[in-house]
Order: sequence, then C-alpha cells, then structure tokens
Amino acid sequence: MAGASSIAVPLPAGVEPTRLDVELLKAAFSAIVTLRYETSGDWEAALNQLETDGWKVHWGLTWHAEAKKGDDFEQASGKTLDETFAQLAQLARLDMVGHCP
Amino acid sequence: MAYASKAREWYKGELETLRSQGLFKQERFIHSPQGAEIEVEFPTGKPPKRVINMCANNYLGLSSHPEVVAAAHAGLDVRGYGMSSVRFICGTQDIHRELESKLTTFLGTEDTLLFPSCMDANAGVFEAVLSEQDVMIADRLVHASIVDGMRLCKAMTDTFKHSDMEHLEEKLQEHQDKRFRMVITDGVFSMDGDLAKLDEIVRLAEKYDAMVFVDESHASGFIGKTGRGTHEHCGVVGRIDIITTTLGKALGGASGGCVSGRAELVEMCRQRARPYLFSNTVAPVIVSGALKVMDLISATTERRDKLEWNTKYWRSLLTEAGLDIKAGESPIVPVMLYNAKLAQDVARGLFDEGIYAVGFFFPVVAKGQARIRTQLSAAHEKRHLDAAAAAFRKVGATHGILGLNKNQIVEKFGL
Repeated sequence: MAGASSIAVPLPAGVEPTRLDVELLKAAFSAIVTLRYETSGDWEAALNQLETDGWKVHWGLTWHAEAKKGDDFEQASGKTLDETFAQLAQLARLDMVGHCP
Repeated sequence: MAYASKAREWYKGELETLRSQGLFKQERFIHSPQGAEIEVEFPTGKPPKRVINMCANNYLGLSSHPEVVAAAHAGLDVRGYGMSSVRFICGTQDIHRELESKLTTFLGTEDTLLFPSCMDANAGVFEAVLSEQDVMIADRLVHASIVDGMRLCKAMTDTFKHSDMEHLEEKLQEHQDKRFRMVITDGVFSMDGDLAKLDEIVRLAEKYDAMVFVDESHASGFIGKTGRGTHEHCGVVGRIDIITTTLGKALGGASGGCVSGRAELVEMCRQRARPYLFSNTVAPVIVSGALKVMDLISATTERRDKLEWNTKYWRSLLTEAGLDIKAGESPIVPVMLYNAKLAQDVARGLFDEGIYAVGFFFPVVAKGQARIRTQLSAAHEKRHLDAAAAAFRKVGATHGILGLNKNQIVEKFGL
C-alpha cells in the first residue's frame, strides 16, 4: 500500500470515541472505498466460477478478529461482534493449557 | 540456495530460543526393551545406566511380554512386514478385521476402525462425522490430538471448564439450536490422572440430546473392574457414542489406534476420515501382537488387578514419605513440586539414584503446576516401588520438601 493516501476526520471537541465507534467508522469507510474503487471484477469472476462449479456461495460484510500471542495465532469471523469474539475466545482457549503426551 | 541463508538462520534462531527458554526436548536413548527396568544413555554419550522406569505408559507391562513378542514374530512370518497400500485399496488383511472385532467386543461398542495412531483417529474423527451445522463442546483439558481434530472440523468449537458439569449443562442449553451436539472428553486426563465424570456427562448428554466422545488412551485395558475403561468404571458401557483409544500404551505399547462406537459413525470414518483414507494402517506384525494382547487381557484381569494394587501401594508410599501428590485412583501419580527448576532438579536427583522419572513444567502444564509425573505398571514388582520411594525420600530430603504442602513449597522455592 505504498503511497496510499488516507483521510483524517476531526471529531467535535469533547467527543471520546469508544473502540466500537472507531471500528464502526473504519468499517463504514472501508465499505465505501471498496464499493467505489474496487472495480477490477476479479472477485466477481471468482464468485461466478465457484457457482459454475456448483458451490452455493454466501457472502457479505462480516466482523473479523485476530489474536496473536508469541507463536500462537487465532482468527475468527462472524456476522456479529458477539459471535466473532466468542469463536476467537474458544479457539484461543483450546491451546491455553499445555498438553502431556 | 535460499534456504541456506535466510531460512536456515531463522530456524537456528528459533531453536536457540527454545533452548534458552528451557523448552528444547531432548531424546534419551534406551538400550533395552521397554520394561520396569531399562538401560538409559544419559547424558548422551555416557554408558547406559540401568534404572527403574517410572514414566512409561506401559500400564499392563505388555510392551515386552514374551507371548506378545512371540505372536508378533509369528505374524511377521505369516503375514509379512508391510502392506504397501492404504486400507481400501489392498492394505487390509483378515487380521485387521479380526483385531477390530476383538476391540469392539472388549470396549462394548458396535464397531471399530483401526487408525495408524490414536493421534490420527482424533485428527480424523470429528471432520468425518460433524459439519458446520453442529457444535463440539470439549473439556478444556482434552488431549492435544483432540484439539487438532477439532480445528480440522468445520463444526463450531466450544469448551467447558474442566470436569465442571454445571458449565457443561449451560453450554448444552446454549447450543440447542445446532443440528448435532457432541460432548468431548478424555476418559483419564494425562496431566493429573483424574477421571472424567462420565456418568454425569452421559446423563446430561441424554437430557440435551448430545453425542458423547471419549478418548480412552490412558484407560483402555485397566480402568474399570475388567479393564474396559472409564465407561465401565462409571457404569455407562454401551452409552458412549464414540471411543478413541490407542494400542501404544497399555495394549502392547507399539503403535496404532482406533475409533470405536456406533456403527454408522464408525462407517462414516471409514468413508471420510482422512488419516484412514490417506495413510497405511497398522502393520501386520503389530496387529499380530495386539491380537495376543487382546486375548491376554480378555482372559484374565490379573495384570489390571496388579496395576491397581501397585497404584494404591505407590500412592501410600509417597504419602507416607510426605510428598504432595494429586489424589486419585489412576496409575498416573503426579508428585507436585510447583517450581519448574525444582521439578528438574528432583528428576535429575532421582536419575542419579537409579529412578527414571520426568519433570513437567510450563508450557506442558500450567504455570506454577510443575510436577514429576510418575506412572505405574503391572511390570513393577514391590521391590521396584520400594526402591523408587526410597529414592524419592532421599532426594526429597536433600531439597527439604518432605512434609511440605503447596504453600510451603511455593514459599520456599517460588513459582
């Protein structure tokens, strides 16, 4: 993304955005930028090919979360924040303890 | 030559990090058959030393049993060395099916399918029988191979606190919208040696329409009155939907594992489980030995009874010595030391005294839970246990830990 430009939006004085506010703003702008500028059509060709191959494809905007600790890496996606983080937490929990052979 | 530079240096650095963190695993070479006494080369390059083995999964003492060895020899002569094929092409002999049938009878299930290992059975079973419409609800201390199998499966993952039946019930209620629910647990947990509350798990599973999966690797052959496993101990034989277990511990200790349970679930594994479909199964020589193992343990409970006696005697010896052990009834008896360095020092001291036992510490066990995991065998005689206990007393006295409880050990050595 070298050379990519970004837009800074000043907030009214006294406004303290929450983590969720910030994520919602980023998500909204990302969706706009994607719809406005991602015009290659590659995604649609991939989608069409999958459907031609017999896949029933469901797609849409989702929440995505990643967690990294040392060498461990987990990621989860979901339609809601609750669903996404519940899944992420469960995946992380699977290896939270060590294991004896 | 890209590997020779950048990649090689990176991997060297990673390995050095493991060494500096004390996490580097070093094999110790054994110069004898597996048994109550073995000859261990340690440190590497030193002449082998004869020691009493307190850390093998050789629960029934069958790893080098003469009748098992003879049966394996005969199997090698009659059935050859390898199959050179996966099961469903030309890699199945009649003895594979015979062993599956004997395991089915022994475990009290409907059908059984052999896998190259129980690690493979656990890696393949969930993906074969569950899909994205389903949920897996696992005890948080299940074996690493189950964790890997769950990760390979598209079903939703959830967990319940270790052996916490209230939490399991909450989870079962929460997931009533799923097509299938599967409760997943070890029968005997390998770190603490505690048993799953299978009777309560089955009751909840039947109440909330869930299947039950149990890994019996540390139970098959010796837990329960006739050694069938944790399901026999808890009175739920015939009510477990999937059992996985290993031939690599009590049942001869060579290698191999299986999925045993409801006929349709086992058949789904035969059709879809990738470790079964894409790798050779257990070699004929091992199948031949395992058939003899099944005959031996089906004919008498003598070995299982001796193991039970050894376990009680060993627990009493360590308790009398003033060591802090995890309460329980399985032949896995952890001696709690809490401090990682102390666990390593005690293990080293024991080896000097002719006792082979291994210290476990973070990340194998939780931080502050370092211990020496001792494991009993029917191959142990009373003299072995008396000698091992004497060594524990001597090394324990050297470190001043005899008679100390957890708080006192932690106060003295830290976590």
